[in-house]
Amino acid sequence: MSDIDDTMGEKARELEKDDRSDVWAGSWLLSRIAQQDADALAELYRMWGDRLYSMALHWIGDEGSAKEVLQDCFLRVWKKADSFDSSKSRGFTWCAMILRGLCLDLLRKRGRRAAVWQDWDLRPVMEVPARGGVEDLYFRDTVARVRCALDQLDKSDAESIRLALFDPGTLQDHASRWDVPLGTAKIRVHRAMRKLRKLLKKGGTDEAHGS
Amino acid sequence: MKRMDREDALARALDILPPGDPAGSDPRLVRNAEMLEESRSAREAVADVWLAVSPLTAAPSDVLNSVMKKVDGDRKPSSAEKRSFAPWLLASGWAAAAAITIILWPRAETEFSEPFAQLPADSSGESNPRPSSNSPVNDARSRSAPRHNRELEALRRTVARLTSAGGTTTPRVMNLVAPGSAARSPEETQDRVRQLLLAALRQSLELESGAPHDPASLVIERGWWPEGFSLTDDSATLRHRNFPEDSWQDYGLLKGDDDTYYDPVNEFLWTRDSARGGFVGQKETELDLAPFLQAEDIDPDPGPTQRTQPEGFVIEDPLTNRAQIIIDQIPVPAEGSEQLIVWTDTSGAVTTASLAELVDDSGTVGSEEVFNTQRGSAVADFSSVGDLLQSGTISFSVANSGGLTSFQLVERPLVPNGTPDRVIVSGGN
Repeated sequence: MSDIDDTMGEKARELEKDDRSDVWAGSWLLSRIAQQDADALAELYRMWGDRLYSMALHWIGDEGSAKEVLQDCFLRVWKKADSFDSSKSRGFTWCAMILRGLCLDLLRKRGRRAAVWQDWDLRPVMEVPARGGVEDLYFRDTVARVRCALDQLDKSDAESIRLALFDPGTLQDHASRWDVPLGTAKIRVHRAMRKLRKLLKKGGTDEAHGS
Repeated sequence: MKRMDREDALARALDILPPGDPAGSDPRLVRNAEMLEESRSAREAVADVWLAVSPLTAAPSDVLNSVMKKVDGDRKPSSAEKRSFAPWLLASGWAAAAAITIILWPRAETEFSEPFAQLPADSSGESNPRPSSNSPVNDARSRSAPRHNRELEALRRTVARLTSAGGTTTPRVMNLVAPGSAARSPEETQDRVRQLLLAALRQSLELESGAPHDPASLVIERGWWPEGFSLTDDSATLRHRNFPEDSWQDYGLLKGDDDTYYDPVNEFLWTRDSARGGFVGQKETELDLAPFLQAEDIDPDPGPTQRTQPEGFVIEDPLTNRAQIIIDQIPVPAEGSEQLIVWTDTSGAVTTASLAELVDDSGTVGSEEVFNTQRGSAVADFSSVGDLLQSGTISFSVANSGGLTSFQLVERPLVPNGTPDRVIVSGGN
């Protein structure tokens, strides 16, 4: 990690500790949305809309569908914000999981019309792209941690994670692809994810490598 | 905890369990603290990785517009409730209908059975009470404020220029009438439009003001007691800003001899409020009704003739090259038909747009993009004074109008069947 990244990461961690961390995490906005505050929804869109749209576009691959799921995602946030619990999840994670569910629904519908594995090679790659310095403080740290963690993962684990994250198939489909029993596929994905989580927790350093 | 439980919790969190997998309905996975932690950390890792590997792209602004429109629609009364007000709006004349629709303004912390909302209204000239930042009233108002201010300013300018007679900068006015109806004379048209704009301006200015100490917890801006609406607090006071004094019989009210009206259905006594304007109403269950007149006690008075046919005006401003169009009493489209507006400019170019596209799902005048696709450089800027579902009135304006020579609102079958367009209103210079 560069000196700048170190400084930014430290600053982001400081922000998490003070009162503003709620704002950064979106919990405050989500609590206002739960009270049907439409301005808060617009603020949330301005804060995270770019990132959520980027995520949808990266996975789905076409702008029209990405816009559609982004819209559905924010409408669902509007309707379900009262079920958000900041003690159980970060605000961004909560929104991202709503988006993930919508993307999965869309891709699984498409998958029923075409062979599931047909375009696997076109699925998102697991590489952190250059950002040109446009990301903000909070996510800059996240991106740096992920970049470092992915660098530490071996190819097999990275591929397992890529499959679990971005393939619309189920573990049964993955098991068939790997030609292993379902239980083995579960263990393989879990093991790779556990390594990833440990690396992310340690800020992307190599302590968990090989565990 | 068994090892496979963690794998199942992870797979369930990522929604990659195969259909029918027992883990999908295993309650331990959503109750056990360790399983919940497994799910939580898996989701966070997925969100972080997904975020980091996705090249940053700006989200389209039209998605936000679309989301906000749908959200606004969710917060408005249903269309069925809106339609129940139509008779009063028709009886009250289209200028009033175009100026403002029915508005109930929840105030303070009083809770009512329906979340009607929008703008405050009082003509006392005092400043508004400031709802909390979480208030839906505040939300709706703050979001609509820029547009409302623009509308207000445009109205002021138009009225001023219509009042200063003559000159080449006076807006041109085209009267749109139903087939068979007589068009107004130019003087009558000009006068009618001025009245309309002044009414709209007065109403807008009233909306800009407010009363901080008004005891009323709800304000009915126009119309009558909403269907299904009930107060949870019998001591609540309501204010009616435009009490239907001329049509009290239509609402089954009883008339007192001292500027009071009694609503026997809702057991509400309405009294004129000279100080703040309008009427205030309170629950009154033990009133002696003997002094009150009923509708049949009054000799029918035809009153001023109200137009019952659709009518409209096109007000084109030569200075700004912008046309404002207002059409009132638009009928509900026949089944299998759509309503279209069609206009011709001095170059002979004919532009057509679907009225339905001007009205979003919530029934309010919406999209600013319709004419972008229909008319190249012309950009429609739809005003907020009309609400098609509610009043049968629509108002919008078109930039770069280019000198409108004719304008029509027509009804056309969705599936062409040889039937010619039915003209609802038309006009031309």
